[in-house]
Amino acid sequence: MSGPGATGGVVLRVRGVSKAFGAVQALRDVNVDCCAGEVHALVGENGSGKSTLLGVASGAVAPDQGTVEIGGCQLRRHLPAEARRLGLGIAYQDFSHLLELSVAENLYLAAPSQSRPAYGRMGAWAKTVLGQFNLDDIAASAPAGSLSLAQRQLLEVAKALLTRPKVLLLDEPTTALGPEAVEQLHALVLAQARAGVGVVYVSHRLPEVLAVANRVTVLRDGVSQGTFEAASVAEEQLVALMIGRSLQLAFPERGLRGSQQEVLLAVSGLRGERFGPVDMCVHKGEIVGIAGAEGNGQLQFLRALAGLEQAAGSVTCAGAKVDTRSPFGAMRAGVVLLSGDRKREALFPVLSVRANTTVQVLRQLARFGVVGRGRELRAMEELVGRLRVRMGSAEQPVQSLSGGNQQKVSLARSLLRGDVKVILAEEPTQGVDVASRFDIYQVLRAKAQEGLGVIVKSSDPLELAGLCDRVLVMSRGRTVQEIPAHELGERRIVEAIVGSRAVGTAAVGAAPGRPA
Amino acid sequence: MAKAIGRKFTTGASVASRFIPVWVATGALMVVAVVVAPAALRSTSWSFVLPFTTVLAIASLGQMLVVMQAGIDLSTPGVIALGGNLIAGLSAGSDHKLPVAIIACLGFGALVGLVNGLFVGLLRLNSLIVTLAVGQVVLAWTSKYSRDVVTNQPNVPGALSSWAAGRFLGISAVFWAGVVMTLVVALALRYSVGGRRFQAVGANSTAAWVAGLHVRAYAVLAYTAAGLLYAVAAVLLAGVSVSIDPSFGSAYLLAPIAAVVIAGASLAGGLASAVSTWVAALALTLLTQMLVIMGLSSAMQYAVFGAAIIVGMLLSGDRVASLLGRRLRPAQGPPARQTSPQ
Repeated sequence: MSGPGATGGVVLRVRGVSKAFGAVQALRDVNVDCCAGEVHALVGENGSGKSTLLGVASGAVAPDQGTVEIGGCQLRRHLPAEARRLGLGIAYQDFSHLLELSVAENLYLAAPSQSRPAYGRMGAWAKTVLGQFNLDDIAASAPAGSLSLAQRQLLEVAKALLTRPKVLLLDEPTTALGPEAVEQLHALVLAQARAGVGVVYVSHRLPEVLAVANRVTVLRDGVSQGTFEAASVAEEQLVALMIGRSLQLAFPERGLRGSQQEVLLAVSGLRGERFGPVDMCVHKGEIVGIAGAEGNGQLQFLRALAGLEQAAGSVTCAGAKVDTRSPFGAMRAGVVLLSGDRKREALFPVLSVRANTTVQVLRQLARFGVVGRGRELRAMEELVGRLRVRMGSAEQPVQSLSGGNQQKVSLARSLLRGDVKVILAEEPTQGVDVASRFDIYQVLRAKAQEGLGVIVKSSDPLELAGLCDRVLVMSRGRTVQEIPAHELGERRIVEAIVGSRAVGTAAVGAAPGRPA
Repeated sequence: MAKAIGRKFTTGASVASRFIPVWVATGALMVVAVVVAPAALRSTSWSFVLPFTTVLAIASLGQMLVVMQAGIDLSTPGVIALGGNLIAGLSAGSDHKLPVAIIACLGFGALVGLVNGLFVGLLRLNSLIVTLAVGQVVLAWTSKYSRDVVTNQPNVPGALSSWAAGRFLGISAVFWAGVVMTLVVALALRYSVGGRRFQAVGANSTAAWVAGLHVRAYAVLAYTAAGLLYAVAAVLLAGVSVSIDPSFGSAYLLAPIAAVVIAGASLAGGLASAVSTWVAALALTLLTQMLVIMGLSSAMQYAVFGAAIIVGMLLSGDRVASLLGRRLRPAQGPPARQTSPQ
């Protein structure tokens, strides 16, 4: 622990903040200070509470306990407008642009009313503003939707700076950026810090963030693990603080493989809007994990395999080409997705548990086009029993089940089909209670042992380490590392996610020096 | 836990609970009728109420199919007017041209529905506006056809009107035809592979797409089948009405929507019951008849339909389902992703 590394006074003071969402304690008694002229990094795993802390600091989330002071004034009503008035600017990870409007109009809307120009002079004004932030490569008249992801990110920061904030919050600003854009962003951040703005920089990319930060605060499970001078702390020390969650989880035995090394799913040169090119394969009987910090293309990659996202490249399953233009095509080849967005993409919330379970196998259950109720119930009950779905009746709407049981129902659905070869599980245990988790792990493992291939995309390294036979780590849309079974562990995965092997870190050294 | 599955099929826990209010309301309406307008329940009244209930019920079944795909169909009066005018116009009042007229009526009804379906299902246009526009085009053409042809020969062929006036087991033949069609729709939705998929697509088209169903085909099918059912309603209404006047079918814009809503359908799509829709059509027709007997002008029936839609939306369907659903949730574990502060 150490005092402020920079000279100015404290511009953001978070004191004893706690916040719970339902039974999940997202933050517990967190203290963070950010001084004027300082770049303060906030690091932690997915789900460690970084975003909630930013939400509390920016007034979007009301804390259960604790206080937030911005520029010496306490935030009272916890409204984003109040935080902004007190001098806080925030650049969100999934930008706040209106994509149909021009860059100038987006800037105009983001500017506080007193600094807005006359409407007719908006274009010239926007050009000046962009020039101030060294963003001359962005055309003021271009629609925001036509900008590259990197440009959108820089525009997001520029918008946050329009209010001339005392403190600037950046939420994972480099997720979508290549090396040059990272350099450009860091130059902008450092210039602001030199001008006396306090910057809170949330990131999972340790090498990048350490290159610009004065101090680093580590979060784990919503608890602060301490604040450190960036110059005097090593990456390994930070990783050690980030991992080691207390949650006890049981995983099914991996069982013997080895003899089964037949390739089931082969992906080569698959590329989409936010990922690629990706080459990988899944063997029979294998569970392959996909790890990475949120927003690095893991999700898009998985969805492209299932035909939900446009992609180019080749995918074969059991030797046959997979038609990834639609979910129907992927399914015909035996590839099914277990979507993480249950409400929107996996379940039919108003329909009964029975109807939800059997929707993909109606033809098999039917005789002469008539689906017999008895046959349907028998097919369902076997699986529902095996997955231990807790429900009152098969006729109750699936939306009245708990999250874990809903997930089991959507899992059961794809398992009823006899022709499934590869299961793509997206966040299979998100929002699922601990008891149900093991049931889900067990079914996935049992299916693998029957000779299926499974890909699990999860933001939880602990889960991947316990469940998978090997884990691929993705960064900026590409697989950057493969971790074999004998090396699997939470620490190893987190190191790979935050590690220096991530593309683009070399450029950081070229950024202007750290402020005093 | 698996043991619990077998026994509790009929407890209030089920998806079907949303369809209960319409039965209760219809029962209550009957009781009120006995007190304030007993004439509405006399047998002379029934011989009027049942045929019109049937026409409304069949038009409502069409509307129900569209609502199940999370749409609304406003082309109903257009299709019914077109159908009625075609029956009178093409048959020229003669029985031996009646089959051709009926086939043309059904064919054009399905065609209008198909056009609606292609715009909404395939091109993803807003159902409300598309069906309103298509309905207006159909109405305009119909009124021209009506002026040029039907005004000179407005009579429905005798074979159709005498069949409609006929009775089977002492009850209107039109009524029996309606019962058969309601059962066919109900059973198809409940037990056929296509019907079950149709429900799933309506309940969540994104999830249905992810599950590998051909989502668009079902939407097109919904509107086409709806158009066909409106045409059937037009044939029956023509039989009941004996002659076709220029306002033929104009009462069927709001009434079918009212019936579907009161019956407890989910306006977000997916859930609806054909039998409940039939009951709702009965309740609405009975209510209109009561008001007429009590001396309210027939224009007031639109106010009644409007109010019925609002009350239906307030009282039934999603609200009832969510209320019962909350009672039902087993007490266990933390609720997933709760975001509100305690």
